[in-house]
Amino acid sequence: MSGNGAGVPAIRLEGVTRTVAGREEPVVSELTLEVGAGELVALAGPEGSGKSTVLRLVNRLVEPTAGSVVLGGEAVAGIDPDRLRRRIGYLPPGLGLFPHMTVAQNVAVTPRLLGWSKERMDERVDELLGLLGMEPKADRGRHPRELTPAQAARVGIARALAAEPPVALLDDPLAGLERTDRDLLASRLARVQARLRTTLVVAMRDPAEAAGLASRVVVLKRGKLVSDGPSGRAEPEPQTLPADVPELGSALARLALTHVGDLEPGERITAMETDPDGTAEALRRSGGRPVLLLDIGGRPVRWVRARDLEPSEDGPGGTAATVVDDDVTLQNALDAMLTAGVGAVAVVDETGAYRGVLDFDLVAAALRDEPEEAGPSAARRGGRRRRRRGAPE
Amino acid sequence: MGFVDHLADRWRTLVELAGEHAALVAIAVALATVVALALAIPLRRRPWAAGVLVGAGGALLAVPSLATLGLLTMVIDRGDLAALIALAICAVGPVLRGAVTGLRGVDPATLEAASGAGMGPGARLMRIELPLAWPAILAGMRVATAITLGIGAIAAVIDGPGLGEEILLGLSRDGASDALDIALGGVLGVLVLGILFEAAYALARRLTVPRGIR
Repeated sequence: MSGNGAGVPAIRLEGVTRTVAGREEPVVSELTLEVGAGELVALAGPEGSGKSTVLRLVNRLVEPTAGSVVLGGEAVAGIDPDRLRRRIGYLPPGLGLFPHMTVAQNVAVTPRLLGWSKERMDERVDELLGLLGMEPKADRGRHPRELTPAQAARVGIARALAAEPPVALLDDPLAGLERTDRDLLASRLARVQARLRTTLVVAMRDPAEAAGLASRVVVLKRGKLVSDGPSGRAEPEPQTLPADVPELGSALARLALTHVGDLEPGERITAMETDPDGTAEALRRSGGRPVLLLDIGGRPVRWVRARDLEPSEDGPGGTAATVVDDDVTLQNALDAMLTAGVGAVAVVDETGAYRGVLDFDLVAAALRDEPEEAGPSAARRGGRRRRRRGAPE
Repeated sequence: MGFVDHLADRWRTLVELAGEHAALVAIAVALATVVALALAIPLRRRPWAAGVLVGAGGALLAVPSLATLGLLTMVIDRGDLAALIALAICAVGPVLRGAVTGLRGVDPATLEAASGAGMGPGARLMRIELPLAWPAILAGMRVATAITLGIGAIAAVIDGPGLGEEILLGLSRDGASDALDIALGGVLGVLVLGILFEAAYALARRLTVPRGIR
């Protein structure tokens, strides 16, 4: 087998089994899997499903007991491991950033091993940090301990992609991030992948979340493949989705594929957090519905109802506002609404400033492909249920 | 004659002895560091090794230093070399502990990331593991220095160099009017050396530990 011609899969696992001493069940069992060049594939499955091992089999951090792993037509068993790994981007679980190195040094680690010139390395570092939504100038000299978890994940991804590898493997890069950060980074990662055309395999636990990232989700369970297909067909995790979303099935698939940016957010009555009189006035106008308070930068802070304005020992009352931006999938936005307790999430622009509000009705309308109605819409789930009963589709 | 006058009088001798003492300690700690790293690096992945190495290092320290010195003179002639070897033996324990702790404390994810990025074992050791373990190694060297400064003062009993000569001289002149001054002069020299070494370590830490892990 040789050659890199069209049609040769970027990665091919042929009947790969991996057993370890002291464990009866193989970690990976007779797995056959192909990933096309330039494809973005999510590898989903719970702890112990073998997804990390599958990634490590590709860059030879572990060796198969049986079967073979082929990279672009070339069996990896015949390639020197260090040379092989410089051709494959890899992010281990837990990121494993190098704490004693700056962000730029972390990202450029493989290019340095490959002997790139300093100019080329600097350029690549800035390019990747920018693509992943960091500030190259300000961030390149920082150290890992100075980064937020979301920034650290971005640096880890940038490091894996730095040497322009044709193939990159990311092992749960979004683990431990808050949901909003996960959503933002997942959609950003999908866009970066589409732009760089890197063959990207991303391991994640939750198939539903994996579906928000990749159009193809491969689900593993105890080392075996249980499903492989477009994310619309991947089994969703039932508990993360509401039971009463119209037309479970195709509508559900659209939830994962439609982004907040595809919808026109609704309007709500807002008030400045620092202006109690304005807040009281807004609450009078809102007719009992919660009012969104913004900070001086125009960023959503919290939702308040009239009762929240009464002085309390617990500090300011109300519910912290959950925000989403254009890159968040509707599925995740809906999840946020359900857990936020207000039945709505605030939509923000790139600077975090308020742009509008998304609620159940707007999402439901988008799923039914109805033209979106302008103006405020009923927020409560009860209200929607009543209407649906009254007007069956 | 007061103590200050005594110091003014014996200034040159004390500085010379302090120089010998400092050199003795520095060379002993350097030797111990080489030995400790030579043991800790190849064994850093073996789970049993951490306990054994640290335990052995501690046991060496538990042997009374006077006994170490005495026993050594049965193998090597009394003098500078025997003193140096004795001190190095005492210094190995703390450095070994620091090296083992530091090398084993490197996050496995970091090691995996290094391998995954295409670093071979040598590059990984030099660029990732040793730099990350360095603060712990340096801390071990600092403890070893403090210990050997004190033991170095006893090395005079086997004709070793350093401020111990002065202390021993003072003690041997028990009853003489200047006996206390002479011994105290030696002790003061050890104290000053201790402060200077501490300052040197603080500086070395600033200069050699990368900012990201300081």
